Formats: sequence, C-alpha cells, structure tokens
Amino acid sequence: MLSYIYYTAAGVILLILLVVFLIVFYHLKNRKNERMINSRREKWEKILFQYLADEISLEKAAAGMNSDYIYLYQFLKPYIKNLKGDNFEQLKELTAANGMNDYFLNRLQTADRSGKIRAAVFLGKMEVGAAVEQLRENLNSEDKNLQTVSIQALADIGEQQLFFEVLKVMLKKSTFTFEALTEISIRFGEDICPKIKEFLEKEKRDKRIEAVFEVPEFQILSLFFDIFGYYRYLPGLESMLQYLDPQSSEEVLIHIFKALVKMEYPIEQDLTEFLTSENWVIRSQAARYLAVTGDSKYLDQLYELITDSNWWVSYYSALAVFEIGRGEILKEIVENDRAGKEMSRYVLAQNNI
Amino acid sequence: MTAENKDEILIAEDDEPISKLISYKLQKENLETSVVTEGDRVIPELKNGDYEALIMELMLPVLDGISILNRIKKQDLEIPVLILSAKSQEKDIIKALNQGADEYITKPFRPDELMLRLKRLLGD
Repeated sequence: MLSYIYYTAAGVILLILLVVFLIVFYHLKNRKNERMINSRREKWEKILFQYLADEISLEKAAAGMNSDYIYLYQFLKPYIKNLKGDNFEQLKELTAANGMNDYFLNRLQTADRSGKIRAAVFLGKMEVGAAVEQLRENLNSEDKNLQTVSIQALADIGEQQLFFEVLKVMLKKSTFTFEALTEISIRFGEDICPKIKEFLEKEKRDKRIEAVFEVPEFQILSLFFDIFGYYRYLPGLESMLQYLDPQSSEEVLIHIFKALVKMEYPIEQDLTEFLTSENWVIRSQAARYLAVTGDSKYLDQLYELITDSNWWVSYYSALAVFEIGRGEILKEIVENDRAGKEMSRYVLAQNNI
Repeated sequence: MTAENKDEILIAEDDEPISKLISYKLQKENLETSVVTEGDRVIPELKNGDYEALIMELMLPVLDGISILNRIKKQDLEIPVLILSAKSQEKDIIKALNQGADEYITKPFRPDELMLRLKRLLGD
C-alpha cells in the first residue's frame, strides 16, 4: 500500500517537473525567437529607411530583406498603410524584387485557409496584378472570408475591368452593408465612373438593371450616384439627372442630391417639387444643395421652409437663405421677431454674425 | 535649440514605426527629435523642452489631438503645429485648423512633403 503511494507521488512529481520543464523550454524558445525577430526587424528597419531615402539601391535593399516573408510582411504593414506616392511605389518595387510577391502568389494557391487570406490581403495592398486571376476564382469560393478579402484585394489592385463582375458578387453572395459596398467600389478608383456612365446610358434604352444585378434598381442607382458624388464626376451628371424626377424612387432622389452637394455644380432642372416633397429627407437634401449653389430662384420657397417642422429642413433652408442673401435676410427675420427667428439666429451665430 | 545648435522637433505619434521613420527623415535634415506616444505627455513636454515645432497625430491615446490644440491655445504656448493624421475628412481638417494647427497632412503621406511643410513652418 505504502509503495503504491510512493509510486503515485513520484509519478505526480515527475509530471509536475515535466510540465515545468516544458513551460521553461517553450518560454526560452519564444524568447530566443523574439530576440531573433527583433534583431531582424532592427536590420530591416535600417535597410528600409536607407532605401526610402534613396541612400541604397533597390537591389541592395532587396538582398537584405529576402527571407522570413511572414514576419517581413508584419514589419512592412505600417509602412504599406501609411506611405503613398513615390515611397509607396518604392515599397512595391521592393516586394517585387525581394521575392515577396512570388511567395504570396504561391501561397494564394497552395496555402491553408488562413494563409490564402493573408496572401490575398498582401497582394491586394501591394497591387500585384499577377494575382488577379486567382482572386477572381476566389469570388466563387464557399469560404466567405476568402471571398471577402479577394473582393477587397481586387478593389485595391484597381482591376476596373472586373468592377461589374465583383459588384454582382458583392450584391448576391456577400453580406456587405450599403456603406461597405460604396467604400469597396470607391477603392476600384475613379476610372470606374466612365464605365458606370456608359452603363447608365445603355440602361436608358434597355432597362435591364434589375436583370443584370438581380437586386432592386434603387440600390444600384443609389450606389452609382454615391460613387459619382465621391469623385465629383461631372461627366456623369447628365446620366444621373435623368433620374432626378419626382416619380423616381425616394432613395435614389436622396442619393442624387447628396451627390449634387458634393459636386457643387449648378443645374437647370426645376427643384420646386423636391422642396415640397412629403419626404423630409428629400426636402432637406434639396435645401442643402441650394445652400451650396446659392440659387436665388428658390429664395421665397426656402424662406418659407425655415419654419418647416423638421429641424434639418429648417436648418438647411436657413443656411441656403444665408448663402443667397449674405445674412441680411436672416437678420431681418430675427430683428422683426418673425417666424423662424430661432433657426435664423442659430445659423447667424454659426457664421459668427 | 540643443547644445549642437540644432532645432528640436517634438513628434507625438503612437505608431512607433512611423515616428521612427519621421525621426530618421528629420535627423537627416539636421534636426533633433523627441517622441511622445500618449496625448497627455505633449503639453508637459512642450513646457519642459525647447521645441521649434510639433508634429502630431490627432488620434492619440489618453488625450486626443484636438484637446491638445485647445490647451496649446489656452496656455499661449507659441509653437507651430503640423498635424499628420489618418483622419482625412474635411470636417476634421477644418476643426484642427480652427483650433490652431498650422498645417495638416493626411495619412497615407509622403515623408518628403512632410519635410517641405515643416521647413516652411520653421521659416527655412
């Protein structure tokens, strides 16, 4: 009985010693690894800074940064994220010359799931055109995460030829919010605007928008007009204004006015009906647009809208009246204690008057 | 000025690789640099040091850049401020300039452009 207890105790002690040994072993191994990585990071940092300052050649930089690509990518991330222009081009040349692009191109095809995802992100950020075909294949992946990063990578590469194809995937297979859809579309670059314009011109004849994208028309049009607005794409104005009709979807009208606000471009179309729309968002966005262009034609209507029951309609109307009348009209409302004096006072104060 | 008669610049940036890159660039231009990574260190550092300019990210931990600009103004600390921030919306830029920032560069950025604008602030 006693020997049984001794053996058990000895077994437990051995087990504890083994666990302690393993903990110490892995701790030391990690520390060694960490020291090695830190020393590489220091070496890489020196090389990178010299390379970015044109103090050493691309070849020399590539020769000094051509191993441990996963760690190297971690090291380069803040620079990839924060540098632009010539310096970003230098980074692109570096990752092409030091074998990193080839390494991640290979991993995009052969690695496990997380490896493929990391590779797709890297290749997108570095705008590696050679990755396009594989990324395109990934659009049909059952793996939602791989599909999503491949969409983002294609947008980052700016593969405009695939914009509509990617858009269809985004709309049908993914769970992107409208804001995310817009953000990713914008990442494709300004050159998608002429393609959208061309599509809208065809659409005017063919009316196939829902058949092509398999989602309600207002979603696509709203997205397109957000993109036009973001890039202030004036050549697309005419295509957009064909939808500035009181019969159009309210959602579309709101996005048109938002785009017009960004474009800051005067249009000839009559806006009276929009200023009297039952939808307060349309009324407010129309007034907001007039606050940008300062069109005196609508002064009487805007004057009336200062007393609108909706705060935003009232605010943008007062702002538009201010822009048109240089504050004199609002001052007159306040001084004569007329309806709308509170909002007039607010807008005047906002403009330090 | 420091003992070597070099202008000293304070960098308030919590992203270490970026502050190191900026420091490298500035030192190449014969400028001294000090780095703080938390917002609440900026004002004490400006008071204790002899800085010619401040390069600052708006999104700093502990105390944000707009609050720091506000304190610089209230405490009459006369120092040119160059904002280098990932905040790129027009309203953020206007807000910072209204609060007393002299220059605003958005990230991603070009270190050469940063250098040019800083030199302008320093009157070189």
